[in-house]
Amino acid sequence: MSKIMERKITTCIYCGCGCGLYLQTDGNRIISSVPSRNHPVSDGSLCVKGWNSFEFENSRERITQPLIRRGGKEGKLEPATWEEAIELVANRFSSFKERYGSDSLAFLSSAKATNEENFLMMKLARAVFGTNNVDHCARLCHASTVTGLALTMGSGAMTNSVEDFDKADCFLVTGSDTTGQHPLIGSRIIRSVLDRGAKLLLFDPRRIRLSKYAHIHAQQRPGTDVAWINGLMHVIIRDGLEAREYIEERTTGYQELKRVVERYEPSYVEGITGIPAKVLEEAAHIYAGTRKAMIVFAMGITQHTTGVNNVKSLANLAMLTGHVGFPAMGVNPLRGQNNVQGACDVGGLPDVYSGYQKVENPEARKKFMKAWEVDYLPDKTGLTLTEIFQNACRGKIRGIYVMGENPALSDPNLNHLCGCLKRTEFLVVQDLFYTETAEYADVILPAASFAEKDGTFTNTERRVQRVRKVMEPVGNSLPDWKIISMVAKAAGYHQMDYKDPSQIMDEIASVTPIYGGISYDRLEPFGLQWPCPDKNHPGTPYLHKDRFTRGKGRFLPAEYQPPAEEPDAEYPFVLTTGRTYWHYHTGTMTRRTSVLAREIPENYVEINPADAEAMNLKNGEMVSVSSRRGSIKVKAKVTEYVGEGLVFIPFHFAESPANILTLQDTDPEAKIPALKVCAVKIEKA
Amino acid sequence: MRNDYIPYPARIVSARDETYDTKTFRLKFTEPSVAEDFNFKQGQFLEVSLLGRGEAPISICSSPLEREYFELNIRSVGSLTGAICRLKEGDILYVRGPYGNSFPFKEVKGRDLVFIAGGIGLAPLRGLIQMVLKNKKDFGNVSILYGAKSPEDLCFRDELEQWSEVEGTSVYQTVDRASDGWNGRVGLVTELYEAAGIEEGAGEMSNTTAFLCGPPVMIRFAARKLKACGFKPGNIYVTLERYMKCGIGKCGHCNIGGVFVCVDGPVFSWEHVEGFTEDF
Amino acid sequence: MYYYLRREKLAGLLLHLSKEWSVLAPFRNSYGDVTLENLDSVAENGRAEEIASRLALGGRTDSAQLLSPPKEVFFPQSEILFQFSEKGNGEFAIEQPEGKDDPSGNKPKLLFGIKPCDYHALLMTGRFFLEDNTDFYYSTRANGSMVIIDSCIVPPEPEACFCSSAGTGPLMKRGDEYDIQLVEEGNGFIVDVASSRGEDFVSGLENFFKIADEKETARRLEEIRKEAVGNVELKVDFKGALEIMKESPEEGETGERLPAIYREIADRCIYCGACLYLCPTCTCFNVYDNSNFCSVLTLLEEGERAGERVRVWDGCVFSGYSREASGHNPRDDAYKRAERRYEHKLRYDPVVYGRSTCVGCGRCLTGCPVDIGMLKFIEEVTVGNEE
Ligand code: SF4
Ligand code: SF4
Ligand code: FES
Repeated sequence: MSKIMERKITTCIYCGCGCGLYLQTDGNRIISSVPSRNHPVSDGSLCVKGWNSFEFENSRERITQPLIRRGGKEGKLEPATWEEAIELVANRFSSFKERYGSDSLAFLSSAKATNEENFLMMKLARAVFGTNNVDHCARLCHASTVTGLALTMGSGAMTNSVEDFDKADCFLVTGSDTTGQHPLIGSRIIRSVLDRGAKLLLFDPRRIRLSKYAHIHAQQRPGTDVAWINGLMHVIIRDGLEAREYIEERTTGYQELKRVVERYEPSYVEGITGIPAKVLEEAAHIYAGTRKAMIVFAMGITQHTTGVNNVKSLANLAMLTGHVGFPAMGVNPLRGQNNVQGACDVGGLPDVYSGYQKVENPEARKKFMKAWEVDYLPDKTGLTLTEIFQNACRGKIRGIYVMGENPALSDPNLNHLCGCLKRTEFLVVQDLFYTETAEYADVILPAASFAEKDGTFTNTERRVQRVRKVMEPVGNSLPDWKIISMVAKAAGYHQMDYKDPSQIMDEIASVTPIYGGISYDRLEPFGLQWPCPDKNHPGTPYLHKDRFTRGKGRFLPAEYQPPAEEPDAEYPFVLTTGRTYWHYHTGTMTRRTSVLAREIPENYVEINPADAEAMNLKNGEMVSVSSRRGSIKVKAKVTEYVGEGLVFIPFHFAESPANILTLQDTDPEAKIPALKVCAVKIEKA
Repeated sequence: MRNDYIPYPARIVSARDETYDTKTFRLKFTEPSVAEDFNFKQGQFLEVSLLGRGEAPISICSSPLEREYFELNIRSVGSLTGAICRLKEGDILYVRGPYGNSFPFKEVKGRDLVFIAGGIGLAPLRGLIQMVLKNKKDFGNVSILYGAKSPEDLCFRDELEQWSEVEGTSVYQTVDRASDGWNGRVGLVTELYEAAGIEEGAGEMSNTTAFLCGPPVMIRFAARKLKACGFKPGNIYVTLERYMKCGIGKCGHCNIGGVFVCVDGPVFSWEHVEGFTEDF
Repeated sequence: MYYYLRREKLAGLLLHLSKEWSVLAPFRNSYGDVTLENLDSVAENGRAEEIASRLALGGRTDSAQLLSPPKEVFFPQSEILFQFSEKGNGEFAIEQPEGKDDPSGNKPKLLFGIKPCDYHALLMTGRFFLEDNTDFYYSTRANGSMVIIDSCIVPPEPEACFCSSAGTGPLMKRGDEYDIQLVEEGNGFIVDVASSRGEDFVSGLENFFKIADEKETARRLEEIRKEAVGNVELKVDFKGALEIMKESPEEGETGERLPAIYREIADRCIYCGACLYLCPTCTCFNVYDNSNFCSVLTLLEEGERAGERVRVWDGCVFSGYSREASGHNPRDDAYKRAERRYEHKLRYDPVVYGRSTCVGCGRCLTGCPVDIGMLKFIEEVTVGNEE
């Protein structure tokens, strides 16, 4: 009899909401996706990406075979066996290590891969090759959050649960196109506002879907966030709305904060941000005056040279009004990717092991040396993503191993970056598709999709949940965790032999206090929210209950600093980049999904009607958009969704990559690039 | 059971550049039995595939009386049609159909006919025009009113010439934007009405039938003006375009109100269109 | 005729039936969701006990709605229309799946335990796909199939179910077009066999179906029906809405109200598609080619060029759905897409089917992330109508 249709529950591969959905197979293809009715996030619903998450896996463009470039950098890729490809990777990396030292190597783990795989990637980097040069695209999204929130409150994660969005009475949303990027959180905000009368305070330079429902929509000039947040705090203190007892009992540094925000009078703030003083005052009163108020933010806050300061300021604001440490009250960075939270949690970062244990801490090192049975682990913080490529350019990094990421489209200042990739002596790319990055690879390793392996993802509300294998890997592809183990073994390391991913999770739990109580059997039915320190711990729906993770909450006031690049006569527009609802990141999956690809088949630049008119530009006309770093051609989309002087380009499209234009200037603390602001000019093409 | 979704290979016998972005392909099914069974009526369309790229509905632009081949006029507007337009003689397209209803032919014998086309909207009318002119003695006066964006966008230029030489047949052309060397008319296709004897207040045009094809805006304008000039809506036929994925009334894309353009159309009398409850 | 089927016999019956049929029944999984699963996939592991414990049947004690509408069995969300591979000189070999990817193999499907609303929907999708230009794939999958209804005494989704308003449930009535309905009673089911096909089906299964007293059972069924109708409540004025929609009124109070309602829906909607995907009578699909032409191996000229033509569920809430090749989109405005969805179900389809294609299952409400849905739409349209 032919193969039976099977349906298994798993976790959506797209955004950080982490919806629970069933994938159904007919043996060798995935044929449907449908939401679970009882899952705490999906609750019977999905966004359009989740509903169509079954299609890209079936794509005939999947890489099905390891490939090796023969005949040097200019040579041709040729199919190879797994043995040969793995040998080659292990040998080249080992010999770089011997000749140039461990730090000539770098490893990119992946916010799309499972926790188990990210853990192994950092284990490979640290235990096998002896370097802390391991990072991933969290650098590009929430590096500032992790740093900013850890410093102020002690934990870099979202404080609340998705459910809380059904309970809060006020949302301060900034730098998040929530309905587009986190649809099932956006939909909860819409329901709360329309059906429960919750208040929505929106701070966003662009008009977004949520604008319609906002009680206040303040359109600040891009890059002026510290100023308006300080302004809010100024008004709150001026009008005596601060939570005195809370500040007294649970925080430190209040006097310093008070001193700094003193001069951010509404009129002064208006000058910097363009937000009318009245509006700022009203927003401050609504936020401070509502008990169940949540701050929600995303890349619009973090992707700035002042990203960390932006985040600290939001944390200050929440602490000032006593809005942290309770259900439906808190500071909520919405994590973009399905597993960017998890990839950070399990140590895919240059400065920490899993559970944010510092590599510089000798105790932590000792613990991991013991667990991994090695007698050396590097003690210096490694290079960040941005630094890795810069060093590759200078020849200091010789070998890079990229798992499931596509920096050649997602990272800033692409012309420069691709130059670095070209110059990298030995580049390994492990992916589902022949991505823009893979074109530079010396070895391509075909990876299995999320539907072809077991594992866990951690969603934005810290919920560690299962990913399940619903079909066999396509062609000769293998799950990332298997590939990494094979490389480790070929490099002579023997502590990376696992029967299945649940064993890897057991290892994670044994060395990671926040995941200490997590094991696969406990993840039924719908996962656990960390911190979950022991086997009996029920998980943590909201953080900082009774006390902050770091003890006392610390106010860390910041001063407003102008963005790294401001518009001038030559480049008069501010460009901001981002995603659309229909597409995901570099489009490797969504552009291979028929309904999604059809909805937005090509790139565009959003430009305000007034600006368009001044240039005599019609909707749909081709323009060239240029910055000091490069130039692309795109269609103009004339819309009021962007204010005057502002333009928006999504970064999904390889034919006209927005990141040719962006700046790689970074926040000094978090090293996150300023993807949200740079200066451009627009000309008719 | 018959599977309507399976296309059959047809070889390109010839490919002719019509304009800078439009080509006319002459095709013949490679399998004799398929070619044999292939019968179509004026105004019907086919689903045309470039396997691996996709499928698009294309109206047949040759006369059904021609049994040796059929012709398709294709404008490169997207990735699929763009790829088709790069094909050459000898290449293969995959084709299924014909689908849809057809233009009245016998029913309009003895009447005066007006054909009004915009841009590549001339293609769906071309088969019918060829049929009519071949049997010209059965019909009254024939006027062909043709408008395009620019002189470079005019299709079937040689044929227009030939048609105008048939007795009792007049061809009028106009462009929105003239370019060097154009000494014809500039303006909308409706501005040709007068020359063709279609005028407001000239009484009922009860012995004339009009056939219309072009972009939706043009169709609307042209039909309304015909009405104002004394045409009964029942004597105006339009052929509509639509995003059509199946051609057999299943995929739903071509719905306008309760109507399926692929099976109830693509040819509609204006009387019918006026009753549509959704825009086209 | 009426029969009685004891609950403890259910699993045995299904296993017995699976010899001749590909049996699909509602099973509850450990996440609390109920889906239509092939008996073989459940029985492989646990045989009769597993089947009995997971079966979600019984309109009173285990009234459960299928997560996905049963159309998925005959019209899956994604299916291959044909495969092609290059033969050289530009020609391709085309291969039809011939039901090859249909797991039921050659056995006809028995859908055991379908709710009356979903059953009505199957009647309509069946008509749609099989009449005029028969759809090859639907017809291949549906060939010889049979449906056994499990009627609702208690509504599975009390907030969302409105079958009594839509006229599709909660029980089937003699005279309706069906073969067999089960109505839970005591420790088993009254089996209402309403057609000769149904009679043929039960004959030979005397082991499972015991003949029940005609008059007494009919009387009892009437009682149950009254109770069931009371349980689901007449939530909305469905007929009233159909009247209003018949002539999408341009003027007057309702005439102004309709566009306002469409606008509101279009504004609120996040375009997830759930209401179409989950609608048991939505049948639209998109067609695309999945080929390896741009895969890295093909680019390296390794292996032949091949692919498949696939169809997937599609729907009118997406703007790309109606956008034409020229870029012109008659429903560019989201408002028109909302209008399309509701008018299709309540205005155009009644003309074709003699009844609305909304069957009152309520899935468009439970699946909508922002709580839009037919139930709410009808409520708003009929505001002011007397009960
Ligand atoms: S909201 Fe996010 S997790 Fe949920 S279906 Fe959409 S992309 Fe997937
Ligand atoms: S389910 Fe709701 S949000 Fe989704 S498309 Fe339908 S109406 Fe819109
Ligand atoms: S083209 Fe598919 S229904 Fe008309």
